[in-house]
Amino acid sequence: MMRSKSVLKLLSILLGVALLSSCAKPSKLYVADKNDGVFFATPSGWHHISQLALGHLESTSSAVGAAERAASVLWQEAVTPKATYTATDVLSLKTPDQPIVYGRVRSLLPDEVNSISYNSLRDLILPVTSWANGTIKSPLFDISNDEEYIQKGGRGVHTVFQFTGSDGSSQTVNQTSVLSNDHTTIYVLIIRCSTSCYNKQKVALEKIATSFTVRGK
Amino acid sequence: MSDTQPQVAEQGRPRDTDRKTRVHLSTFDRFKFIIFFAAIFMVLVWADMSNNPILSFSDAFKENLNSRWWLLALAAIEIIRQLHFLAAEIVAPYHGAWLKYFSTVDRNLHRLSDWNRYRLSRVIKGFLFICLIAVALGAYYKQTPVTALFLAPKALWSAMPMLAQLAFAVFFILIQFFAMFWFLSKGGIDTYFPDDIRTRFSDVWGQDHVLNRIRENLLFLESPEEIEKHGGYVPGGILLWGPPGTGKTLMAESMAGETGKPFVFVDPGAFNNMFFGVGVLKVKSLFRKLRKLSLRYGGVVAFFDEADSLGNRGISTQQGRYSNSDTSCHGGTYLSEGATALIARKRFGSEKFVANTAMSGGGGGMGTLQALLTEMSGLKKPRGFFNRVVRRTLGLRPKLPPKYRILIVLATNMPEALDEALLRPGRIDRMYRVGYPSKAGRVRTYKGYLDKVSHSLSEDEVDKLATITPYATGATIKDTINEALINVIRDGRTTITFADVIKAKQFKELGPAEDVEYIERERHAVAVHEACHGVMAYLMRHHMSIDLATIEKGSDYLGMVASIPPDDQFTRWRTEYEADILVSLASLAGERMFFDGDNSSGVSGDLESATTVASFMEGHWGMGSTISSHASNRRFEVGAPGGAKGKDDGARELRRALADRIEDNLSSLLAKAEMVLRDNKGKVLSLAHALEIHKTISGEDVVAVMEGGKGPLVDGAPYQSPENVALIERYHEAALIAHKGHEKPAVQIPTFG
Repeated sequence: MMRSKSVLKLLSILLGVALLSSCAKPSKLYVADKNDGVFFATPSGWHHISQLALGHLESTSSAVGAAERAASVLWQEAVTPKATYTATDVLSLKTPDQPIVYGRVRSLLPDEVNSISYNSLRDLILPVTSWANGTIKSPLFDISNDEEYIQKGGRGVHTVFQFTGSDGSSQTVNQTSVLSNDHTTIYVLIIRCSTSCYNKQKVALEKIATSFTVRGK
Repeated sequence: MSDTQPQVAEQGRPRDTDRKTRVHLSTFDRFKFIIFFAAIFMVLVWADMSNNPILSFSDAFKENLNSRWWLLALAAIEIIRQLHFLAAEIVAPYHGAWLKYFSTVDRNLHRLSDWNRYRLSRVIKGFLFICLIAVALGAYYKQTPVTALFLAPKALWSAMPMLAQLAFAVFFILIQFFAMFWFLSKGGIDTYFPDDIRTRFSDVWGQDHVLNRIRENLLFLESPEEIEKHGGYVPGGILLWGPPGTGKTLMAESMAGETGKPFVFVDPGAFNNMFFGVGVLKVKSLFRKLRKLSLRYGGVVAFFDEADSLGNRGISTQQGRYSNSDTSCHGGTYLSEGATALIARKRFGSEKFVANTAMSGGGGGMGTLQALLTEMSGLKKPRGFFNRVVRRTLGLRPKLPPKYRILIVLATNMPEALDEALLRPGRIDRMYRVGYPSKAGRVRTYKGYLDKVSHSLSEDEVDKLATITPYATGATIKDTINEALINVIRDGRTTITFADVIKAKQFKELGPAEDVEYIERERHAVAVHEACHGVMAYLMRHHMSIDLATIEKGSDYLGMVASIPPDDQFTRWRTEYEADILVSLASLAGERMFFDGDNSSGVSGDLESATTVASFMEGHWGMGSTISSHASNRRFEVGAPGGAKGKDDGARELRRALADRIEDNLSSLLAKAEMVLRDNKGKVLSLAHALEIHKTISGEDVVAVMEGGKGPLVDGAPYQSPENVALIERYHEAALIAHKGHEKPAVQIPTFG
């Protein structure tokens, strides 16, 4: 009888655990492109921005070579704590008051394959190298971090810089660009926010940057 | 046992149905599925972690908890199931309520007939299977299950060229085996449906006692509730055994005709196969068929003809029959059937070794018999995957199968060749000897076959016919009547007479005469030989009457005196056996007496018969000077009673060796035979004369010669006159001189009238 009772207790506990544990939530939001071997994690509760919208916006852009680049995108995903942000907010340089995390994998175009360098990786969205060299006239600009970034799937640069855009507000960009070992693909993670917002959430945002893992195909 | 000692519970493990609570599960059984689900969960967590290098264990765990909800649900169901079991183990009323519920469900289900339930369950299972496939395909194609179900054949069609090639290769190899085994496992089993068979019990004649019993069996097959409601069970197997031609197969056929159930006829050769395992396959498919038929028609009769072909796992089947082949004299035909059988057994015994080596194994062999035994007693076990596995998983007891009403009938003329295990009650519940028909049965059979032809036989003649053919079977009677009809037609007539039937009977029993003419002195010697048998049989053997006497040479005899028992008699007595021996020894005694101490080798068969019967009398039947049975003495190797030879010990004289005692018995009987013949010398020569004149005479003619009456062929009156007897004796003297000198007798055989 004693044994039966203890078994009964055990079974009840198991049932309780099974029922309760279904309410548990993971501590982070994991974003991954398993096909291309790219991973990063943001705090849980952040929102995804529609991938379709991102793709559509880029392909219809009038910028030079935008459509061509859009066609070579293998994967892209944007995450932000602000639910109202759309694809336009992600792909423009307008200073966001909440962080926007944008990850992207793109295969290189034939002429890019031959000319790719750490500089060009650094200059993916803004001519950071030239600004830093002073070759071209820069707005208010400061590089707070610039280091080589080596991963299993490739190597590249991790750059953190602030600049003041045309709207006059300062924004911080935490950018990691990695070129795959076979020089065919680039992996990018860009974390953007107004400088004040960035400084406020610096620890969390840097954690996102360190979680960026390129394993490669 | 003292009162202070604890009482040992004498009860065994209680039956499942007697328990108030459920049987306790072992701890492993209680947790095995939960552990299994936990293991699957951990594997999935591990897989996720290995797919995502930045994923922490706790997050992977939590993520899986959300995404693999179905696994949790299964685990929860399993835990609830275990709680249910546990409750049923502890709380008797709870268990009782469930049992009641299940029995109600079962009862409701059993309102449908077994056959309908079987078909319905097949349909439901098929439907569930299709649903399962549809859901799986739906998940695969990411479509609704119904759409996916139609997409699958399309995909299959597009993959066809490659599949076809593969399939062809596989098919090409397998088809040979499948085809071979399929073809091999077919055949030998014929099913007849109720209206196919016209034979009825009224067509079986002369076996009423067996038919009445069989009718009982059929009654139970038709309404099994009669016996089952009283706690009995329906006998499931019948063995019909007996001599060939007595109507076993016909009986089985009429059984099928009477029942209105399908009748499955299993060919004797069905289980003899070239390949190992085909016989087993055949048995299995046969019983699958029987079960199906019995559900559909509420019963089925399976008939195994010549069941001895099923064989025996130990002793080889003893095939080969003894034929009365003996060229010296009548092949023991004047002996009763029992005595002939004994001699046969003794003779066969000496050839047994050869027979065994030549026919070892025998029958179906190769596991066929074992498969048959298993199937015959395995009809009441639970069957089917759903029944045995799924029901048990749900915590239900497997259902017993419906009661298959299968009546198995075996027929054989060699019951000793059947395996003992086959004959045990439960497999074969009843054994009926289909013996030689009784006289009433023979009369019925004769009438039955005579009614089919034109004949002029009176009631009395038919009765007489039945009397003088004691071992006739349905088959021999049919054959005799047909033989008579052939003769009648050959003679240009259309109606069969009594004489035609008798002639046909003699022709059938003795075979065609060889039409050889004995030279006179040899004819006389054979006639005297047979006359000695005849006179002795007439005078001494009252338990049998003479059927006929002949000196026409047949294929395996020189002449004979055949006797038949006038009544159906079932016990044999010492005096009767002594009379048998006297009749056998009469030839030797007579030849020595009439031919001045000379005798022919023609007595060898007679001596063998006499010695055999004498041996049985002395050693087996307690008809000699000792009591112990030679059969047991030999089995226990204690030796025969009596000491060594040559000891002149009065007390031991009575307990001499068996062979000596047999010889003594035979010697005294030979002396008696001599005495009888000497006293009836004239009669012997008279009968020999009648035989020499007529070649073949009937029993009545023998009586006519002995008593001076009038037989059908011979007028006995002249043999009563002393002058005639003197003439006959003179002829014998002349024949004796001719015998000694190997010349023609000087005196012609006298003729009277």
